[in-house]
Amino acid sequence: MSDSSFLSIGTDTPRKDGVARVTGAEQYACDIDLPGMWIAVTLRSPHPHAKILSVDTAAACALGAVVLTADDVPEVYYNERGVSVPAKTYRDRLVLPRKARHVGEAILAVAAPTEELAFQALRAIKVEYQLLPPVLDAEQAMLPQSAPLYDRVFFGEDHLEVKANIACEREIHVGDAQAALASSDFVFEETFQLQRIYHHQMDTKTAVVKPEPDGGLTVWCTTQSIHNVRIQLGRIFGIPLSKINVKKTALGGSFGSSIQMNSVIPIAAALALKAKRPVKLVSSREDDAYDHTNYPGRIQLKVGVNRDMSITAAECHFLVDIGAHQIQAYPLLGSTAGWLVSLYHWKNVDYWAKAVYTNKVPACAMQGYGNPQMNFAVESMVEIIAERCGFDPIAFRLRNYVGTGDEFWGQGPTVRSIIKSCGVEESLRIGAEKIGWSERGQPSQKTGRLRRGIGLGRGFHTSGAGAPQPAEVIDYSSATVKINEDGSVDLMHPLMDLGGGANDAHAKIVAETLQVPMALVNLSPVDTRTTGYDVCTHASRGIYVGGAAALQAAREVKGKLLDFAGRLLNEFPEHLELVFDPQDQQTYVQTRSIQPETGLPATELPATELPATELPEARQLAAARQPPAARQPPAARQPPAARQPPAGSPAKRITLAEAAKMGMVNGWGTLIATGSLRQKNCPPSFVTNFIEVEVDTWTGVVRILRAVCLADCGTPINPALAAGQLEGSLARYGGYALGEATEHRPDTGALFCEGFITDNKIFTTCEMPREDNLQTYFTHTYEPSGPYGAKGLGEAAGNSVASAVANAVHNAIGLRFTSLPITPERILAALASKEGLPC
Amino acid sequence: MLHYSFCKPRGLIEALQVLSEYGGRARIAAGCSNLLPDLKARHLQDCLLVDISELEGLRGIQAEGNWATVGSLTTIAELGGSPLLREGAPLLWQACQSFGDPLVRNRATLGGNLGHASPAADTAPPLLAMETSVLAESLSGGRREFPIAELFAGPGRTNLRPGELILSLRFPLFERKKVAFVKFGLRNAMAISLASAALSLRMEDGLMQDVKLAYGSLAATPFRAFRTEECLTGMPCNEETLVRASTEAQGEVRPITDIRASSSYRRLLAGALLRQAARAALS
Repeated sequence: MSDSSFLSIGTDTPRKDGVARVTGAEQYACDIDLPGMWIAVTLRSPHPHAKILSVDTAAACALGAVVLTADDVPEVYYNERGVSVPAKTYRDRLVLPRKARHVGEAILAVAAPTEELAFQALRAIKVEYQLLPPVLDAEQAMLPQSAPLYDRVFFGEDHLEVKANIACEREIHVGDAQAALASSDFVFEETFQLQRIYHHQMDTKTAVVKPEPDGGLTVWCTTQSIHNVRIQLGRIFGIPLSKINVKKTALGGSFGSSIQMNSVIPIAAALALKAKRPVKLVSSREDDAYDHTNYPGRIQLKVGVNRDMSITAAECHFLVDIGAHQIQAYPLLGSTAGWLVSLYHWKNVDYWAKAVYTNKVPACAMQGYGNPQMNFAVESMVEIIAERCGFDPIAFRLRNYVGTGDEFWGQGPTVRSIIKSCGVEESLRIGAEKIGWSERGQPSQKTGRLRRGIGLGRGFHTSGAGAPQPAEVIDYSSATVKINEDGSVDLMHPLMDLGGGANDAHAKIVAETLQVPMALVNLSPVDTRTTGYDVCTHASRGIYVGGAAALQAAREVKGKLLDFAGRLLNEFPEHLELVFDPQDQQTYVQTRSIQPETGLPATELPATELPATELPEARQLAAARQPPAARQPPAARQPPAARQPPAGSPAKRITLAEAAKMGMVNGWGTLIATGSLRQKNCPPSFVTNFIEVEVDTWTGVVRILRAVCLADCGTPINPALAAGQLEGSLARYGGYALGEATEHRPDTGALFCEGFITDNKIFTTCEMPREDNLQTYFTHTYEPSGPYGAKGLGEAAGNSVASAVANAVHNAIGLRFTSLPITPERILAALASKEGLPC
Repeated sequence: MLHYSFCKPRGLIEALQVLSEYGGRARIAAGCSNLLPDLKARHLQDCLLVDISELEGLRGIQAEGNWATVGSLTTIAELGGSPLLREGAPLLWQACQSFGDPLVRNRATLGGNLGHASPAADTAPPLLAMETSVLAESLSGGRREFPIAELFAGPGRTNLRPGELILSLRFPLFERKKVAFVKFGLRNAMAISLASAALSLRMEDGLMQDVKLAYGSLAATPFRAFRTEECLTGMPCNEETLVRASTEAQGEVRPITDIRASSSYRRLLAGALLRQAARAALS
């Protein structure tokens, strides 16, 4: 919870880009318009699996278009995602393929002066295909008679033969699960089926690429990582990174769909290099729906339990149909093991996971990254066990949950840390009160047309992918803070804001550290040339890792500021502090009050201001970087004891603005610093959803009537935006639970919706509970390793929504759904077989 | 890529001339809420878009005694915002409240919703239940008025003659009946109806009389469910009647299976919607 001692942390402030976004003034990649820019369009395969035998581009070229085919692109295999270390990265794709592996895969591209001409040229191109048998089912894909999608791919720098279309496998064992299951009082087993859904981010994937006279590239694109785009382009096209500049533009949502360098970016880059002019490639909504999907999955879960409510073991088989390319299936299989083992104390675990290639839209990370899937399985299973064994569902959870002091797997088995803050108990207690858990009744007591039920789902997600030792996942961030000559502040942060307000949180962390109003901190437009590295906005690391980098930079700038002020006030910098005076709305550097017991000024910063685990290192870094003059003021400037101000009343002060201005006038240099750091923990944020639904037994429609969303995200930096995460995720994953499915036709391999949103619906505000029935709550927790006690929230917010909805449906009508989505039609069919058809 | 040409007639005669000249290749563009997705999906290619949005004579709601005439260019938002229809034609008015979303209601026209001949058109069941007549005109055939039930030929197909344009719809006002329009989609806004029903009736001495029931999305066209109407007529509105009528309705509808729902589910909805409509009409 917010601490009243904070100036702006924990207060609601409007997004800095809010007005620009809602008035249409904000500039997204698709708004970039350059002189002489050509428009690119892509030709996408109508076939799920086909070899491209020949391409006739003569007619298109005659129209004045530039055509890019597989012959024009570098023979460099890449993986769009650059988050795992290179040695653990699978690479299976070229900029343009010689074989189409799913309907809608871009197989060539055309650029022309106008979009109309580009489409004319596209239509004039003749492609000859050799159709191959499509593989459209993950189980069948592994059979010997199925056509292989790949002969071999790269793993790290090595060739890897692909057998039975299995992209990758992981096996994790803790203790002796089979023995534990054999000696358990009860063993439960269920299979859970999770569907494919399209991310439905508003911003379709876009790239604008401008070739520069020096052989370099300037890029504006839809991405969650400007630095990884630069690294990938440098690698594919053999251009030094210093000559590639990727601009940070506003992102219109993402939900994880742009965690990678999207495949349209190198296509646009190759076209721009070939056409020798700027090229813009905007994905249509239909192209975009054929570009990415979440990870579907089948989870077979077996759990052993004893009569004393203790869990003894879990056995889990996870099968993932990843579609035509491997983007991050290998880390997904590991991470999902973490989502399993870190939810409850299983004690013994057998985990087998397999990712299988099929001729479908390639799956990539989506908010939660395997966690909503695993959470649905586990939190459904917990309710099944509680019901059959007669355990109280909350007591059963409290008996077995993973919390403070326990080990947590934040990104699979190689990214582990110890939990230091946990709001699970508070969430369960408060949530149960708020929703009226004890009055929820049993399904058997509920009759009539409209039946209500209350469900509980609890989950968590990591904050970043940091561990004491760097592991398979790269995770650090950088930020630069500059106090301008008038006392205003510029923050240069490479981390992309996916919509949750991460950059605003960074600004707030800087404002808090420098005790200046949020309005004085500017989020500067940046690019890869002007910022240090940030890996990517993923793993809910925006605030925890990105914010820590901003905090580090802000602290260092603060040190320099105190040095300037010390020179001006003739005081030791360590005897000075920053204070915001609400009377005149000014930030002052002033002498600290004298400690009555020591007769010396207080030199320790308040404990709340520095993450404890970061303190020694940050101090050392700051010390190492300070100029000698700052560390040891000259003796002549040492204030005589007689001039010490009396206790409790600082005598000397100067405004921050004045100190900054005098720094310039005196030629002392710019108040600027860059932080770059790796967090060494990955604290989980815990979210609990209590949801009340109403099932219409005539139509099968489920309405979400009430929801209480409780979050332990440590200190909510901006509570209004944090609440927005919880509310938005209720909508996003409410739709996942109750309606969405973006599946392929088993015959043609095309999407049932054909890419159109007409038949690919997500929740709107009309599906949400009314405002007064939607409550959010933040637990009173403080994460010692996070900036001002903060953890992540973006993904945790959505992970347990589907399980809470399914549990609520069960409480209403007594039917357990183990596969999603729980559509009205499936509810009615299940009711019909239980109670007979409604008239 | 979209392949089409475009013209914008300045008057009705010019519009009818263009429609007559281009025949089946001409596509009428009014609010374009169906046309744009169709163009994008390439269901329409190589056509002439005839933009009739400036034919002011086709716009507006006029009342004459107990009859209303609504121009085909009148938007759903105008219908849904009309106090006259709210009082005088509540069945149509109700359908306009839940039509698409506010953005679509501002663009979509009544003529377009009917002329597109989707089995799911939300205004069709109310207009069928109100025994609306359609006024259409072509250059060669002149003007003719016919019952709306004769308009629909199949999914996306009407019985309009070549070059014929819907000018207006005429229906009775202030029938003082008990009415309800109910629909069912996969979400509460911007969803194509899986099933819809419009019901109107009069209660006389505790019995239902003058019952009109029309369904959308439950057959190749929107249609009146005459057999179900008979089942209800002269009966008290009780559980027994409704169960019997629902069973009748489930036999009377001819739904298809598509990606949104199976025919068996839609059949179930026919009964559920009838009961829901009866309850809403009498509440």
